[in-house]
Amino acid sequence: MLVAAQADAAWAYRRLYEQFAPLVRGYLRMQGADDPDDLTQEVFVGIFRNITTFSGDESAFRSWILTIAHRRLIDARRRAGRRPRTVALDTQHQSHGDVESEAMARIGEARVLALLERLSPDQRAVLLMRIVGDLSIDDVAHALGKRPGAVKQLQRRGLDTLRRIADAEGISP
Amino acid sequence: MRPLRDYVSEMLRQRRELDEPFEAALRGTPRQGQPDVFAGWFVSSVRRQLPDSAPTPDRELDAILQHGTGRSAEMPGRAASEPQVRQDQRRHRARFAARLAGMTVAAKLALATAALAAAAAGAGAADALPPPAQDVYDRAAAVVREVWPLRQGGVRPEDFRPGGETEHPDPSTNERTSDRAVMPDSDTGDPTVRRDGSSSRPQTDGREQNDRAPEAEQSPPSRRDSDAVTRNDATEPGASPAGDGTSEDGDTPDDRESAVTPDSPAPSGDGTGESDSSTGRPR
Repeated sequence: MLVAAQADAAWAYRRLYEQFAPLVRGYLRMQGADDPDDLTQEVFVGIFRNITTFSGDESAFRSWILTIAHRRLIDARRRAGRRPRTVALDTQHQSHGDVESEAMARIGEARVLALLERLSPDQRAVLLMRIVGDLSIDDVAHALGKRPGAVKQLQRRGLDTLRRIADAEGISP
Repeated sequence: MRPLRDYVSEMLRQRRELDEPFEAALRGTPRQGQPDVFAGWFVSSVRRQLPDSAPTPDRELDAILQHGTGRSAEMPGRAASEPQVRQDQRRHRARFAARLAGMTVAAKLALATAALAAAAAGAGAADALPPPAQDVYDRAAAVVREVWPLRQGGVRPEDFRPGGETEHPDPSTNERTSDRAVMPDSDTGDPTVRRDGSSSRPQTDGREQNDRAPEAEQSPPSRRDSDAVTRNDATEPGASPAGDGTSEDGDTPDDRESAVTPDSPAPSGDGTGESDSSTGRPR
């Protein structure tokens, strides 16, 4: 499919868009982009116009598109000139059948986004790329232009911050 | 100042309480008996936020999804330092792979069959097939040569090796079946008989037109010699398809090839086109 897209096959573009656009859209939403849908389309237009410069498998492609999405997000923030803002979402609580999960279910999805908002931009980018994009430490380091050790430290500090916040607010298991 | 072991123990604690639960939650394999609840909850909560569908494309993106980007042959997205040849090769490979991917199974099978046939034909032409397969190929090639309209058993300039010997000078050891079809008497093993049926001896069985000058055996023609023969032959009425006398300078390669047929004198070493007197052709 990637090879077909590099040969400018429209059907391959459609499949790539259907497969990866939700991932990019979710990443941008949780990063607090003002208009994640518009930015997602902007990202994919850039991806398709420059897809011949890409080489690698699907995992590398996932890392590549998240790298582009992250850079577009930074550009959009620079243009907007304001602090990132997380969009609250309507969520549904689901019972998972055990006490701990029930306790966690008290926190809505909007609360998750609120937690993310309290992280530093780098910590949030690292955690989201790892969770949403399923990227490895090395992939995240490459996407963010940092060393793997620095990414590991950002991840650790971000998780520690989240845990302390949860503890302080009585939501820690 | 904190001792070193405090840092080590702190690092180990973070790894145990933060890194390992988080990695296990990412893999979807929470560890048994470990305080992974927070990491598992956080990871699953974030993943639940992912939308299921892509946003509706705007006009620009929709045009790409419908018709492609319409990249030019130069492909400006490529790195400027990459050689143009490699760009072209990669682009051609990508297009070929895309076409293959778009083919039906039947079309792929047909393409594979054609490729195998072409490979077998090439190997057969190079005498590189195993003996039984080579024999089958030779028989098939003989049939094709007999019915091929552009070359009816004649000799072509490329049948001669640059060193001056015919391709199979000894018919008894290395003669091809197709040669027999053109030249039945070659089975006698007469070294003066060429593989295309021409001979340095006069023939009386109606194949006189295949005869050629004996000097051709010692001095096989070069390409120029062959051309000279062709031009001489072309002056003979009815000697060859090019024998209308009009192809002195403007004959095409096909004309030249077809001009050197059993109906025409074989190339001679001196390029004069002289033939044996028994053929009744002018020297």
